[in-house]
Amino acid sequence: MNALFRTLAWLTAACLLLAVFAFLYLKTQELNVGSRDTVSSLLRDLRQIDAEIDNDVLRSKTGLNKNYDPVARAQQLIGAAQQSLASQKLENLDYSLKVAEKGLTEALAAKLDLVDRFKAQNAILKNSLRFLPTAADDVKQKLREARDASGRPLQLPALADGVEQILVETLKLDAASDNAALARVRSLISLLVQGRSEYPGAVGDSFDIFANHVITILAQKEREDDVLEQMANVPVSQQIDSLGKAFAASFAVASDRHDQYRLAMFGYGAFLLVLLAFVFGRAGRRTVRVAA
Amino acid sequence: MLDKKRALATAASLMLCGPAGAQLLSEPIQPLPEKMELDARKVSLGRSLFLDKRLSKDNSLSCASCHDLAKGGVDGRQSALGIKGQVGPINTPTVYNSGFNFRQFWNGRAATLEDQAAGPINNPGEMGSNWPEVLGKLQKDPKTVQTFYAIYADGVQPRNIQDAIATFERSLVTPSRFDRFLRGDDSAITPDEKQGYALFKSYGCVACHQGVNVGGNMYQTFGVMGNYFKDRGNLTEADQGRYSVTGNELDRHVFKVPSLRNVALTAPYFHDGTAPTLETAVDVMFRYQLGRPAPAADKAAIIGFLKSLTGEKEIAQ
Repeated sequence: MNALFRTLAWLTAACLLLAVFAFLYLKTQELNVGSRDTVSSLLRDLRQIDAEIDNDVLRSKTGLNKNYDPVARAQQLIGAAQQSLASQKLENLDYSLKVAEKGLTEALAAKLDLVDRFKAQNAILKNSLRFLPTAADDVKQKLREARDASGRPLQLPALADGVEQILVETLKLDAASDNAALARVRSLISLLVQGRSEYPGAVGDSFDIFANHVITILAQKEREDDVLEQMANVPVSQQIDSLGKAFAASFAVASDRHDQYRLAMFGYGAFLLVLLAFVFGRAGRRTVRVAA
Repeated sequence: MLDKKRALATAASLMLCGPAGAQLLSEPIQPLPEKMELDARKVSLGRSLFLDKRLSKDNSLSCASCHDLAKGGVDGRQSALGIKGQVGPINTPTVYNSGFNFRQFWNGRAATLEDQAAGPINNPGEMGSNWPEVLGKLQKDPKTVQTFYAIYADGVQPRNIQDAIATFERSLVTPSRFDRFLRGDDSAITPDEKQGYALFKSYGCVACHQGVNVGGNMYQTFGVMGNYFKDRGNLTEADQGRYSVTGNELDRHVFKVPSLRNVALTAPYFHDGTAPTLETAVDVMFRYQLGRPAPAADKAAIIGFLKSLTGEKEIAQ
């Protein structure tokens, strides 16, 4: 019975000693040393794609980009980089990183949403701006063809001049917009709209289309400017910086802890080897004594 | 990292993949790539899954039931039909060239084709199944299991099914005569179609329908220059568009701009399938999106151009 207890005691002690070693070993495996490079690279990619989006949005605004594929491509790349970042499970390193990552995710979502709005508004704006000269020509053409009750050419000089002036002002507005210019066009179109009852049949119809597009341009111009301003204020860079700094700090702490556990594991391993040597030595001496 | 690779593949496919002359670069519409770099084994497996009715609860429907590859990737119905004859809420968009869309579904609720592939399978109104059921059926088939293990280390898994179907869908690329024209073959389209393209640009259709997929890279409000939904009446949940995804009032009646590739094959049109012909669809677009009238001859020329976007053949893998 004593021998059985002794064997069990020895086995328990051996298991405990090995469990401590296993614990230390697992602790040294918690930190993925390669994750530092991966996360840094992903954050760098995000920063670059974010800059590319800003660049492509401006190129679309100025007409240098003939389509929205470059912007859409950058949006997809951001989504992919976010998924890769999420797969790193930063919260395992330090739970507080989850907050920083959430901040970045929200900033990117806000940015992508604004980019979608920009594309939609820019397309409407371009559509109306492209059509406006045709619409103005149409009003003038219908005006030339219009006759009064006595069959003489209809005289509406204010309409003809107003349409031309609005066309020029609106096209200038596209190149460089300011609130004063917007207000000027708005005032001009309001004046013409007030006189709408004087425009006969076809002239009135063509004027309605012209006015509709001018009003659309004014509204879209304001919305586009607003979206661009909001986009500039989305703190993507700051959130990337913030996550990068938080990650670096957490990684440094985890790295120190990792080094400590590694040191402890080596020390403990050495202790176990000495203990093993002692046990085997003692067992060997006992065997010799028993044999003698 | 796999997701990044996928996105890069999609992104690369959005890029210009051919001779880039100055004339081509200045065009708002860009040609489809001449070759897609895809894993042929995944494409083959994805094709068989796409046609596999075991993905539906009662083994009655496959992806191809709604996305009929012989009918331009659609079912030709106003709304899709689910299991047990359930009538869906929305018109089926074409699966052809869907790899070039920046988001999937009319309301853009899926960011990738992989996400999209899971949608109908798990939707009670469509294929009505779920992953455990689908996996159970597929895992009983030794040949399918073997094919999966030959490609994926973890065999039959939901993400692998999604990956294979999405890869197959990315292979559904349909270069047209218009692509040959964009690449410099001036005789690829007729003078009337060239005139139609010029009008398509000058009338502003190209403001939304641009890029390599002639659409599919942005959202837009349906009814920019007029209230389409008030005029049509009978508002449905599907009419809410992107609003049903984001809950943002600005997204009400906002939809992903559909691709116009193969548009001549994909009637009826719009998310509600209310336009039975291209002529009707073009009329609606002029009224509610462009806000201007156009002579019938110009509309006919634009329709002629749209027909030149019909794919001549799928790219051989």
